[in-house]
Amino acid sequence: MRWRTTRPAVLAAVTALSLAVAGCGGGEEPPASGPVEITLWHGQAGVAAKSIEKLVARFNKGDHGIKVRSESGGVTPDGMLPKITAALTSDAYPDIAYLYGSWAPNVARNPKTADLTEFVKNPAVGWSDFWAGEREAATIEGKVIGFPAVVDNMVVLYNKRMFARAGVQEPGPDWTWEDFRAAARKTTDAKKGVFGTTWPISGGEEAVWGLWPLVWQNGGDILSPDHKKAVFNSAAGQKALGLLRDMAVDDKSIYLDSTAAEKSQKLFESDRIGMFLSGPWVLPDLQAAKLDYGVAQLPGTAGNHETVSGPDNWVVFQHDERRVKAAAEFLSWLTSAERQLEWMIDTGSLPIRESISKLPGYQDYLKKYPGIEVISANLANAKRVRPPTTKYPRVSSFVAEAIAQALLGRSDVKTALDEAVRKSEAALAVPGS
Amino acid sequence: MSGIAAGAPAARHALGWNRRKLGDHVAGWSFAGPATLILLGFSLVPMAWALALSFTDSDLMRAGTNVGAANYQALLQDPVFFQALRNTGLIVVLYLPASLVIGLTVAVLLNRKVRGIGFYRTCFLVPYVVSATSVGLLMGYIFDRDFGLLNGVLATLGLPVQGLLGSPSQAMLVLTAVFLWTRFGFTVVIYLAAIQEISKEVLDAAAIDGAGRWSTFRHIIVPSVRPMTIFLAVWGVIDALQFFDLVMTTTQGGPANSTVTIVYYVWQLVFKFSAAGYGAAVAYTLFAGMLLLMLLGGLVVLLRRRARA
Repeated sequence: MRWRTTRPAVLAAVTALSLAVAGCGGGEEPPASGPVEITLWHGQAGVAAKSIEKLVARFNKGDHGIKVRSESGGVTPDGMLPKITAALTSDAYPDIAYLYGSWAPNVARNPKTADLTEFVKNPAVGWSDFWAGEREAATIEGKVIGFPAVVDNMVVLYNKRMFARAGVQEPGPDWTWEDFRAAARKTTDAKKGVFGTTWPISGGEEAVWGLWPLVWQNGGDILSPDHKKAVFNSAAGQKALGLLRDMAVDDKSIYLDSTAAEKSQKLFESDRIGMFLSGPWVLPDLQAAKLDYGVAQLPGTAGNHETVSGPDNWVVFQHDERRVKAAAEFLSWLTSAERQLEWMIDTGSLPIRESISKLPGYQDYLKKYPGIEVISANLANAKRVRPPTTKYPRVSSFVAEAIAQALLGRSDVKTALDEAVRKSEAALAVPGS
Repeated sequence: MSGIAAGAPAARHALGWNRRKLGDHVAGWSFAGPATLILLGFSLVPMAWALALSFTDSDLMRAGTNVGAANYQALLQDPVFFQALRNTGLIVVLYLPASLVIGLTVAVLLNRKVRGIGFYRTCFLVPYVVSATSVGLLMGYIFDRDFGLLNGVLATLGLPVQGLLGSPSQAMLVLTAVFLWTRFGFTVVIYLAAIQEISKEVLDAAAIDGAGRWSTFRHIIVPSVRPMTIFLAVWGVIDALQFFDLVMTTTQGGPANSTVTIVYYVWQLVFKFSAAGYGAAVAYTLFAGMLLLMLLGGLVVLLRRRARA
């Protein structure tokens, strides 16, 4: 038997093996020539995952010496920052990952995050064709860290059947928050377990981002321009949260979702919730559930219908020069207008490039997703983004707490917001991270 | 001559013994080596690394700068940390006695010769085997305030509907109850094994002395399974202090931070709030607390043994 060696040799082999296991493989030598292999973590599921994998498969057939391996990364987009943090720490990171724009400041700090500033200057990339907000979200302190992936904004989706049954007029372009409140009250039927609208009260960002348009419309803001002070407890902030509190506590027209917003989406799909504040990404689900839905821009305050948006990025991480170049080449292919239109038709995403609406297939896209033109036009109402600071997630968690306290009627609006501001400012005052 | 003659075999013997000893060492380490290395690689090295991390302001995205004990000082003024501490303490205080009492009771009930006893025993272990994710999702639907099964039943019976997972004052209690439901199967198995170890003579002797069911339970079974009780108590405290997965899959710490446990808070700090250094400090504080508890527990056991001896 050839493998029967001396015991020290076995020991050495076993030791080497366990070291390899424990060390999680470090020394991957980049081949100098041959096809470049890169990995993509897209974080998508269902229709979106299928669409991206279809596009990747097509790209891999091309004659450019690049092979892309695409996988979800084992998480949904919500879980990508924790995942990528761990992956970067243990040197097991992909070349490209789908990351929310609000995380860009955190990710850009890592030295392994690639710098594509020079690459996007190539006219073939068409960098200026992306919306300005997207380019900003992908550029941190002058350094381009990736490509725009998806842009979205918050709209009100409503159940047409429930509106008709309750005799409520469907929202028009000029509707106000008073209209919103009245519609919610009228569609609520506590006995049947039917609610006018919903709000998450879990501890995450999903509970918070919907509050900001209300604050902005009332003339308030989240943080001071230098990000040192929290200012969301202003009169505008109190008015914003006050409306929600009155709806939840006095009208009882809000279903308080104690888990992340997925549960309320299911309830919305099954005629239990009249209005759902969300974005274009739920449209394929609503269609699959055969829901007769309508789309409206957010209610306005004195004619201001400002909404909140979150551009997401394909962030590139550095392994070696060839792989960064390959990743950038793949991304400029993926984000080109033609491929994007295909992805938009599959998933109901919004156009990330200005030129997409001029493509002949754009009309098919509008036809496939009733209401998408409202969401697309609503991009003009997305004037501000959440503060691009690494402290934002912490601040958001305090606001989530305040929202829960107020909507549960356990604390009045001012006390809840003041408390959140106090905690936020303590967190903002901590230097470094 | 005779000295040499006598010495030579002894020397040869010693040499042979050394070689055999060396061989034993090699064999021993070749068995223990992989496990030791994995332990070093996956436990001790990360632990040392986390300790170093707790003195920096790192966010895992870049190497942090040394901030000394600032993270530990910040802990003292962190309301969420104290809330997490209270929440976690609540689990320990509620879960531990309940799991021991219910576990032992069920174990006694299951320790009889009834047809299909294997089936019943399996039933109690099933929740322990089911993944926390499934349990979390399932419980989310049972304990929802407005659409949950439990409140549906309460409403049908005309009883007041509860806030459950949607209420800051009840959410932690609900999660503790669910946690108890998932974990007590393990307690039952351990106790059942211990009860079956009790020698039949002792039980027979007690019966002859006229001990009823209660006195048998009180004076034979409870003292006999005491070592297991100590083990289960220690295990239960560790388990409860590390409470995380159910929070993750149900409330994500809400409503209003009422279900943030220490470990969930550590996770939030490190992976959501980009405060890995601070998170590591919280983790080490938990570690120190646990160590202290274990030492105290050990001391109590030792003192009692001394007192008896």
